[in-house]
Amino acid sequence: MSTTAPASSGAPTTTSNPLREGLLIERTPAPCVMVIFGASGDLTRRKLIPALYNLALERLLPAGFSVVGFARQDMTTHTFRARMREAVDEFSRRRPVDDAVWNSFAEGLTYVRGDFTDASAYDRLRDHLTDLDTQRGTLGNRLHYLATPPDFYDDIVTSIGTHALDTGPEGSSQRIIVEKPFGHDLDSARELNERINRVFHESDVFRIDHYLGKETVQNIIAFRFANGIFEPLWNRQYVDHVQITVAESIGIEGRGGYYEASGAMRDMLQNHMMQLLSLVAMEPPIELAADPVRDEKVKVLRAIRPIRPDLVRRFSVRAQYGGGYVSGEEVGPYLAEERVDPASTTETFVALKLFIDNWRWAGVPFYLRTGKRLPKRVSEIAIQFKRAPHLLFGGSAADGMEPNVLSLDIQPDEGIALTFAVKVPGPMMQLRAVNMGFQYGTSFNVQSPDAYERLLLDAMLGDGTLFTRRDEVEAAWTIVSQVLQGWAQQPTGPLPAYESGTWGPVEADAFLKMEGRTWREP
Amino acid sequence: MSTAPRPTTPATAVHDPRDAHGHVHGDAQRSVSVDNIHQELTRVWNEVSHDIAERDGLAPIHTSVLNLVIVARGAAEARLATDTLHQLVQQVPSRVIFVRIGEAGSPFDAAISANCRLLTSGRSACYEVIEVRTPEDQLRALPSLLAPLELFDVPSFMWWVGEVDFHADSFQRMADTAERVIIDSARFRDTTTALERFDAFLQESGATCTGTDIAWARATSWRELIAQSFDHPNTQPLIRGIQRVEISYDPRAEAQGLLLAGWLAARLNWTLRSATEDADELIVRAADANGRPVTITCFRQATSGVGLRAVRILARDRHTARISVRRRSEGLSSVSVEVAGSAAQERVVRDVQPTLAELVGRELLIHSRDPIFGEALSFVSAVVRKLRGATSVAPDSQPPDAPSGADTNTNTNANTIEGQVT
Repeated sequence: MSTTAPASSGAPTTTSNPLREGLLIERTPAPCVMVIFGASGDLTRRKLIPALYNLALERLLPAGFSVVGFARQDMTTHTFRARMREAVDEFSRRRPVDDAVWNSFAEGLTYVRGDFTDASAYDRLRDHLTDLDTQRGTLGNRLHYLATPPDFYDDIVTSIGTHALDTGPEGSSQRIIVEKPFGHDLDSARELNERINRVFHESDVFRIDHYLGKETVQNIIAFRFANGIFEPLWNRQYVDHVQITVAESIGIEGRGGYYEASGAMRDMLQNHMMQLLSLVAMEPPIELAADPVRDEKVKVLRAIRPIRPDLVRRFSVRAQYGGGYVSGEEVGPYLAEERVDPASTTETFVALKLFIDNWRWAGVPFYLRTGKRLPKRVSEIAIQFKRAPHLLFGGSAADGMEPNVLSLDIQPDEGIALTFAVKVPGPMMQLRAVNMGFQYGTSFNVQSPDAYERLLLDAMLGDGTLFTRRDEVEAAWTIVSQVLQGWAQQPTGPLPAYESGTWGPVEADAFLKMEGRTWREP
Repeated sequence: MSTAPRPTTPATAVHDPRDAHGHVHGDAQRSVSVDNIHQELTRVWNEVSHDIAERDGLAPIHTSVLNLVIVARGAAEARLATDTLHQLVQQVPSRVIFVRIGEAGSPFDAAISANCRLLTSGRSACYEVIEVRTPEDQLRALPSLLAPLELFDVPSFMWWVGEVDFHADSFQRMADTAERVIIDSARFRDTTTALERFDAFLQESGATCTGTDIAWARATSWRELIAQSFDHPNTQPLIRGIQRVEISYDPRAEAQGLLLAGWLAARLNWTLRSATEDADELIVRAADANGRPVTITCFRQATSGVGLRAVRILARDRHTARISVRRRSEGLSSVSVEVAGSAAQERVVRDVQPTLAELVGRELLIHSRDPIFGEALSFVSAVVRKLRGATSVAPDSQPPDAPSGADTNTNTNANTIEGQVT
């Protein structure tokens, strides 16, 4: 293992190819080997290999690109290829699978069996990688992917260093992709980051949050900074408050063991929602590149007003789903789920009020809400503007008036909508709120790439813009850990329950109502 | 009234039965005027919006990201345009003005339709098509109708489905209403002359109008595969050491082959030295940026298969490299890179021939001048001039079904109609 801070690996790929100019297709990364630790798991089947196959289909993978699956399960390369083919048949967004493209892609798939704590397995892996460099021209470029439970991160990253799996010829790239959760709290996140950075330079670490790979999340940047009309309004002078909702209609789907240790706060809010918040609230970056964008995001996270543990009840609501009906089906309560402690206090719903103490956002509340078994799956950012300062319309004219709301719809119907008031036709001055909507599906009848396709390609190209940097992760944990500490200091007892298929507990409604606001029901 | 357009069904949506149609007929009582067309358009939209809102409880979504003027001459081109436009507009929602040029004396009228598709979300997304039928001898009047019918805030594209007389006054006046003109040189009787004249037209247009050729769009996937081959660290230094290029194609894909050659030459700063041809081959000799000779050979292979077949590149630097892109079968190509001293690499890639709607749709994504196309076209134009011994190009012959003298016609009829267009 390196004893000093590792150097950044080689430049991603060249930009000096004059034939590239004017082409819309992405740059092709330099040939590399992607080593998937935990290749027998669900993530590899459902997401990684289908995404890689789709990239091959889109002609975005370089010749010689190779994948080495590394896991404990006893399996030959032949079996690994067959299983991955089944996975692509089942999960690729581009079906039926093209046999010729698959066969060409599958020539680069190999499997090495090994326990993550077995030193000899890493030696075998290293020898195999050296062979691949010769056979497939991968030039010593490596992209390691931690697709294992986080308990193994430490062993794997340490072994990559001690077995020189992070070294290659000069100019080669040595990168690592880390799946969430990035720690369990601030301390464990720092510890994990320390360990990773002992082997990999921070610029070669790609912490993946698939939300950032979504087209509509990337569109937040385009919408804010490519349009002159919104940015002047994007501040405390005009914005009353911001609501960020990430709602799921499903329950924990048999993942009781994981969810009990996680809860909505760690599962959704610490990562996805903090990313959405920072993209909505950040200042314009000096350029659209990895560090300038992440510098601005981390400034937002650092400007969030700390929530003292004793004040946590004023700023947060947590709850668990009870029984009820979702989409016409009867569902049971969280406490009756498999591998869930009947006395569990793990939250499946959380609402949080945050303030960003900077010049732009001082005094503007940001309400974040996420939960399981809500009426529908929807992710939305709603910017609610202040009401007109003086109403000209007396009597009942303004009864139908609502504040202007700009909603950025992340999923499932990606789009942007603006609500404003208009006069109802007729002799009377009667106002009504109308909605002017833009939907991606109607303006661009093209299928967006899966988030993993975008992110895997970016990692191969060495572009970290859509990945989370160490300081971002730690800043997000700083806020979340304070709330978790506050909750831990609360008297023990059952959490408030909300009926499955509703928008959360009455406590959450009261939380906004006392400030004269209401939750949106997107 | 013309037959109502029949929307095709895209993969993500189903056709909405609540399409609506309108018609403006040019006669003594009612002229084909902008006001009348707008009036009819409003009526059609009200009808379709009302029907859909009543059924779904939601007003339909109406989005236009550009104006698309499609010009078709004769029945065959009109059929091709009709078959394509609904697929096209579902990719790129637009206000479509479909100009059907008929024989002299044929009716001058307009049909309006609002076409809706039901999205999977349950909402209906709609677009409009204004179909203007005009006789050939009244083309001069058309630009005064087009400009006010186009939406103001979005760019305007003009797709000429068939052969174009670039010198004709009617073409130039219509092109003035568009930011970008799209032609398909493959549909011209003489492809090389078409490319040369299109280049001259674009040069003369300067900044006012840009253009592209669908043949260029057809070669895009080949350009991508060739460009990607030089992304590899082993081949990247060889890009300046290309010595020989061989391009094989079906003779009907002459424009694609020539534009591909022009693209390589222009991108790599090659200087044209000479060009010769016989029935089977066209040989271009050039010098690279360092003055070293480069030969491009275009093989016209009238055997099975269509379009581009193969591109082989030989490059030498410290090493020798052979790069080839080859169409293996329908929908598949292979790319192989052999660099001396390194493992040979081959990958099989999907290369499905895009539909005409997809090809035009891609070009609609480019709103500004495409300098890469421009420089490739100029190189091809220079090759054509070399082949002709630098003789000047004769004026255009008339398009296949155009009546003689149609575009210079300033007779009373045309003036009368021009007076009607308001």
